[in-house]
Amino acid sequence: MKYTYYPGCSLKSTEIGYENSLRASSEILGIELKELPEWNCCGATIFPKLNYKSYLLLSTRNLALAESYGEDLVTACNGCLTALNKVNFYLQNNRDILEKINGVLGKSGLNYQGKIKIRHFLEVLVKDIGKKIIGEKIKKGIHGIKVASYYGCQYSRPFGPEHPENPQYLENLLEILGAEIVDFSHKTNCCGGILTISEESCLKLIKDILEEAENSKVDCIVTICPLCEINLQLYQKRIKIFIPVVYFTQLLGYSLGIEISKLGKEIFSLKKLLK
Amino acid sequence: MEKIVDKIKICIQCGTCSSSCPLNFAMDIPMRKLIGLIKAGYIKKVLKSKTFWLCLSCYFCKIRCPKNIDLPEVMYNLHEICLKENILPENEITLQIYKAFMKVVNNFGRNFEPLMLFFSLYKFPKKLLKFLPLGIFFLKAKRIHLFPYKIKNSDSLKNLLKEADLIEI
Repeated sequence: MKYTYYPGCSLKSTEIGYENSLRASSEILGIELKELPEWNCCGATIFPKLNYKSYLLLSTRNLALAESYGEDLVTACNGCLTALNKVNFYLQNNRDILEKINGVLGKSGLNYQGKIKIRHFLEVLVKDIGKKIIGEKIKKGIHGIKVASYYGCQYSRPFGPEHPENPQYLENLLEILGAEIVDFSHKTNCCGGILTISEESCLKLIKDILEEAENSKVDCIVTICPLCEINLQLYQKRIKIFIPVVYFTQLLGYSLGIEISKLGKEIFSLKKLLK
Repeated sequence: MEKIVDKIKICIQCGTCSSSCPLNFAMDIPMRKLIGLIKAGYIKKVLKSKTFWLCLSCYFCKIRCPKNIDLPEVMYNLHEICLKENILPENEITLQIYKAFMKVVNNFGRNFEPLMLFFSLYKFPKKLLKFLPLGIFFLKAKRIHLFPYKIKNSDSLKNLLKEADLIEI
């Protein structure tokens, strides 16, 4: 299976463990990811607030670059997924504005026709690769590890591939790996995003998520978004609840038999439990 | 502003947005009331509120709204109007973070966290200092680079962004 890959800024810096585990797992599962050359920031949720036109241009440039490769554009960041999707649907429904943006992009030789599909890596794993192939490649599994599956907000909302408030793909995947999954009512709640830096009130959101995980006595929280991972990890000292937070690709990679040292630092917190 | 009024005119004031918003408790004007105020023409009061500056883009309000109003989009548009009218938010840091993020992306094409944080918080040294240990930790773990990655076409991207500013949407 071939895809164009859009890492987004976080997976190239602080969250490099997410990218490494994603790439290593892809290799074993026969997923071919070609990184979009010279991609730029998607605009996140910041550009559309302060400068909508810049936001349209930034995301459309990525989409235009990706369109020339023809494959679906795959990302593992919820923020990028929504930012790119939002522009994509907006331009598909407002062709006059697409023309105007193309008028500008044309100056660097780019043109977007509105044909790209943007997808989360989790969806690709569950829908395209599927239970059977993943199941066959599993070497170790993570039996006996109790997990809370946490999607965060922008995977399933507003354009997600699943139910906006009760998605299931992460549980589906973790089940194949052998994990013990608890019901997690905060699974699509917001972690506070970038506002955690400036707004104390966001700490309550993180506290609620960590508290439910603590009460469910899980061994770890599994995330699918770099910003969720950072927020849930960073404020544990202040909230005084300590629970490992790992990426789903790290548990997948481990189950596929990849050495823990190649999967990024987050999963080290589970070392004692992984045999 | 007319565009916003157009988007919310079908609102039935049910309050689903307020009760769905995770930061409702921190807002000075609940979302439902904010929309009501726009409808009634109290624009100044709306623009001075901190409500939309707290929007996390979690989209609970949007997917639950019985009239399918794109409320996050309305919240976004209010930010831009404030900037044009020079009305600053009560929490200065939020705006500084946004501006810093945009500055870094405009120059390099991608975000570079250390510089973004520095531009966000250099006016608030106490807060900046809190992030210093984290920065050192990331540097030691080689999880951030010393210098930002600049995309090859960053200059041309800068020009494109300037030109995009001139189009009408």
